[in-house]
Amino acid sequence: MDSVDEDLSARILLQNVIQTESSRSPITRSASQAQFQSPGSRIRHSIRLRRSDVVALTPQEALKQSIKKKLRESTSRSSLPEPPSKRWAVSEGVGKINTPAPATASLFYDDDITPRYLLRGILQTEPETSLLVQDRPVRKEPELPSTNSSLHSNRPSTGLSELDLPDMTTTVNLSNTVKGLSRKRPCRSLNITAFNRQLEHEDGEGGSATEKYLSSLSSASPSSITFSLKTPLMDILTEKRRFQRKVANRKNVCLEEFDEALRNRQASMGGDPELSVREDQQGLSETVRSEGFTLGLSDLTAPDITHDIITSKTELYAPPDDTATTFTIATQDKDTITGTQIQREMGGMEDEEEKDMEEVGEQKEYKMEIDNKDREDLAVDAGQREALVRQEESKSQTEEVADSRTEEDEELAKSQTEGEVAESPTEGEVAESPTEGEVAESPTEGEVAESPTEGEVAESPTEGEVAESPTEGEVAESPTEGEVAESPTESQTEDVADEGRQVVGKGLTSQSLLHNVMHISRRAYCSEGGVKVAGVMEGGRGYKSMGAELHPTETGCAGRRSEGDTAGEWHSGPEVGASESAHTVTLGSAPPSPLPQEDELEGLSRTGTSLGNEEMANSMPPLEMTFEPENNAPHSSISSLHPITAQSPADHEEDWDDVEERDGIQSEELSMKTPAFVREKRNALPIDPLATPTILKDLQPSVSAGAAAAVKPKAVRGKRTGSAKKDPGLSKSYIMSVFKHFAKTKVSTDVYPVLKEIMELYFDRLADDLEMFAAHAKRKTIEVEDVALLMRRQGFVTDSMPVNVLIEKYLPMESRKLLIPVATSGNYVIPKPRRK
Amino acid sequence: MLKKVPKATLKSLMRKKANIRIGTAADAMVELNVLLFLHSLAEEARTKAFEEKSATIKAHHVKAVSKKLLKRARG
Repeated sequence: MDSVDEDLSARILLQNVIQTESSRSPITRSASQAQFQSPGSRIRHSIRLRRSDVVALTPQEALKQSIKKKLRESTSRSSLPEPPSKRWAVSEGVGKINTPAPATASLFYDDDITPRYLLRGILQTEPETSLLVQDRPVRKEPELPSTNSSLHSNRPSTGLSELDLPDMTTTVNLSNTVKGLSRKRPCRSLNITAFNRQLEHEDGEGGSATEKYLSSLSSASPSSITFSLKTPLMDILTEKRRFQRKVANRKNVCLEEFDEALRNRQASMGGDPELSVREDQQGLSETVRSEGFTLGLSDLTAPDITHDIITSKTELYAPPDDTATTFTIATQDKDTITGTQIQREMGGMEDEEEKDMEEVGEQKEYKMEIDNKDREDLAVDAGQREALVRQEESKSQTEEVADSRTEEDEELAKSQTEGEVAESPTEGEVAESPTEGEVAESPTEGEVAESPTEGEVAESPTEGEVAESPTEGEVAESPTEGEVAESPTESQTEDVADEGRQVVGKGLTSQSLLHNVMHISRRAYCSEGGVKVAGVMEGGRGYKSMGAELHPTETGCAGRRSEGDTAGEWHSGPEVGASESAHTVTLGSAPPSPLPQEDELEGLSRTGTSLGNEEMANSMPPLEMTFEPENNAPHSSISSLHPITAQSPADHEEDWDDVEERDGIQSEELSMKTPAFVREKRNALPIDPLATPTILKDLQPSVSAGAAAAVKPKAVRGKRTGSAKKDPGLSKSYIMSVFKHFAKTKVSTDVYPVLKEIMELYFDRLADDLEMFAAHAKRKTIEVEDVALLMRRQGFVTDSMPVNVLIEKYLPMESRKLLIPVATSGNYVIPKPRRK
Repeated sequence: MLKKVPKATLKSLMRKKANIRIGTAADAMVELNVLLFLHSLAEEARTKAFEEKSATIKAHHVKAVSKKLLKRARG
């Protein structure tokens, strides 16, 4: 029968159908439609089918029927030369099947009918088939019914075994057929289809599901089987899709939002052409920052180029980084100019400042340049500055391709602007660059102003970059794109000349990550300034200390600190973005309290380090880190994370003290910063992971120190615990080996700590008990019998399990020898039997 | 068991625990006791791991078992 069924062809089926079915008027499309649309009609139009339901089908018949049905369906679905109506009907049927569940069953049945009718139509049209029909009409008939029944049964079987593999279908069908010849079969099938449909619908991919359903239907393989297969698969797919979608959506949103936010800021900045660039940068802020870092690194090597790059880059970031505010922008401009200047300044810087801090000096120089730029921008009126900054930035941008660089420059510029808030309207970026070394000297429009930027709070309209420098004095200035932080910092910075830089930095923080970049630059600048002033390479700390000092004076100090720290740190990284963000962060925090500023700085520094961390948080950590070093004289600790940055901030701090030499400091800072922050960046990158924990520590004396300390204590703790182990006693290896041996299966290493504790606990108990036993026996020494008693009490030793047996079972020879007298040759017993 | 148990360790443990001395043989006995305990612990842990159809004994298996076992072995 199977063979026969296999041979079934559409024609044969059709023949059978036609034969069995009572002659009916060919169902036209309309008729078929009517059928389809009679979802509720359970009545099988086809007598043949009805017959199948009632007739008890033998397994073979059932199989045949199922096969036939499948064939029919396949034929209907397949691209047989069926009249289009058939297909259409089929599709309709299928579609309708996918529609409301209750209709499925009926529709399903209808499908059988409609294809059949269609086929019949074909047969009628084609007289050829008639011959075949005659040959085996009889056979077909039984087959058909059998197939029908089998098919019907298939459905229920499939329904029952939806999850079963297709292979099972036939066999199951047979069994089910026998069992389920009852009227329930159709119901089951309905369930299946309904279930499928429901699943499909549930998946929310009704369309797809239906498609699948259709495909499955159309497939030559047993339709029921396909259904069953489909449902689970579909569900999975749909689910996956859902999940995927969700995830994707989320991600997209975040990123997009951020970019948009950045762009908005840019727009607020003034929609400079740079903004667009910045936007791009923003988008790439992270990457750019990273780039910036790398660039910053290269700065050390090739300051000229790097600076230029940085400067140009900073500019890009500055504008987008609203937080960066004009300052950053200015920095950019400055950067471009300072590129060359940096070189000069670096040389000068070094001279000016501690030679030790050459690296820092470099950074500072860079920062100086940036600052100069910023300052220049700052010098211009608030509005002008912004314009200037923008312009400068644009200049720098144009000049310098490196976006990252611009960031750095921005940062520097920011720092500069801070000092130059009032002064540096000098678009002459060149002027700024010398600010580093000329801070005091060069009246570079901005540099000098930078130091007074503190008081120039109002001036720094720098988009935010400027705000950095003027953070202190730029309270008013920080209209930077949004560097609210800057303003607070500005106010703070006002108090301290150097703070001006902080302000800038702060302003940055407020802006955003982008600002962070600026912030970083600013910070670097600030730090530089501090350093420069002091001319002492106290390392970042120096600067920070200054910042710290400034704190009491102004919250801005913190900002500065952050700048100093961050400057060093950020310069390497996404100066613009990071600095800005960092600044903003720091700035924001600064106002609240000096410590927070530090955090900001740290965070900013981190942001710088973290390659333009978009997240302010990042900036925060670095800020903290930077703060820590600030707080601690051992800025180096931070510097450990960012050795350079530490120095620069330290210097800055010192410089801050001087305040007077703000300009000089600034210049120094700038020169110092550039290398410093480059270093910082480098350090920050690796240190970031460390930094984050330090942040938690909240401004440990030195960020780096904190990080380092964190690492050290851990090691120490480990050692201590090791040394203090309760009785080294059960060595880990011993326990492990024993356990493994006893376990006879794989043992994960996680268990060992647990095991160890358990063993220790057990051992303690053991000792106590033994002690008690011995005391009970009025002995002072624990003896074997004590232990034996203990074992008995523990249940290890029972009447059926004497001690000796256990001894021999477990103990190694040497131990056993002790316990069990062993007779050796010569009548020499080991151990010596006790005289007792 | 496959390794030699450092007797010194046992002794130090005992000393630390209590000021009582411990005889020579007792060390071996204690070692035996420890082995037995570990053995039962491993067996129980293994059973528990198998319950979870995991061929590897994991930490949580052991932990779940330890409490009960410790109680039983308290004597």
